[in-house]
Amino acid sequence: MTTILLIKSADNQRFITEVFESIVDTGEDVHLLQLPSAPDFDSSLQETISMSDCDVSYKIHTLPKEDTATNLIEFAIEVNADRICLGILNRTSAGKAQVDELMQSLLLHQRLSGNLTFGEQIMSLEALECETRPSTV
Amino acid sequence: MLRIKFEMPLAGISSTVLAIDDQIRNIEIDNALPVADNAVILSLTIQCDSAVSAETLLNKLSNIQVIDISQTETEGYTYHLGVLTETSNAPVLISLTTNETIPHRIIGKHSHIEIIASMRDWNHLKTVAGTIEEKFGEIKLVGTTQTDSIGFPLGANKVKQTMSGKLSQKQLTVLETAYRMGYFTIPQEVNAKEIADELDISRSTLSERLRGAEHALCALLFGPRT
Repeated sequence: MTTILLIKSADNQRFITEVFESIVDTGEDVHLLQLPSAPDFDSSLQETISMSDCDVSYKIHTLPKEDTATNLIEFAIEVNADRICLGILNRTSAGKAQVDELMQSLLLHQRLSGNLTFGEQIMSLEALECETRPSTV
Repeated sequence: MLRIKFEMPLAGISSTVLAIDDQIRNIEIDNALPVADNAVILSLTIQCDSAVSAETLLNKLSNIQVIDISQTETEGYTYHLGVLTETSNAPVLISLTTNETIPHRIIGKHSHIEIIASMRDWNHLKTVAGTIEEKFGEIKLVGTTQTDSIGFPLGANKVKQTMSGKLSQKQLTVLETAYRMGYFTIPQEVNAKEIADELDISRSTLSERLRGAEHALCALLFGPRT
């Protein structure tokens, strides 16, 4: 199983902890994907991960292009992701996870399908299927 | 099952009502009952920021058959309407139900319609969003959560709405805060002073508003004191 966790802000330690301790299983691969719009948090990410007691291999990436759903899907295809995790940064007054522009683009993207599930602070696109871009040839 | 809150462009009876007067803040579909010949009976709540007379509403809604109109007691600018109209005046509701979505709230505001609805799963959300966008224009997802229960279609907020017509906003706020903080549990989790501090009001004001709310609740349950 391969998991992508989107890193969107400095306030992501709690999301990393939940993904590593409650969502992924031992032996899985995790790709921590920093969005270009987010500052560089490499050092604080590694500190957080080293503090959590889990045995998963992880890599930290920065999305090379702008943080659009299409670029994210290309990355998901590249790493053969089964799951994309998004931290719930804010909630509505009724407790719903607030949906931002990128999240909406992912949820409504025609090339992406699977199951949408919720953890404590993580929204997870599970059993992910990414349709490859149609060939132009 | 997913509960989704989203916004979409104005359409149908929402845009008709909101065009009547700038003072109309919102219109909500509380209930809907299909009748023969592509018609539907709608229960509506219209909230205004300041005085908009019932006559103005009735005159401007001359193309819709208003069965009943009443004004709430404490919220002076809130009207409840029962109307008989063609289903084409409720296109959003029809679109949602045709797509097997359960609408919980449909609220027309000045710039958009706000909708809370339950959908089966992610694929269902994409299908519904696609249909809505094709018919009405771009939508904006606001929030989402997972739920085990289907919930009530429309009118889910009916009890609160009924109460909001009988209780003032201040009384409702006091009642809700007291409830959420555990004032009514046995044993009590907070005392009156803690609630008053939370609301930044005096204990005597808190007591007055709570008693007012309890009185209104009793009046609703048992009718007026004779």
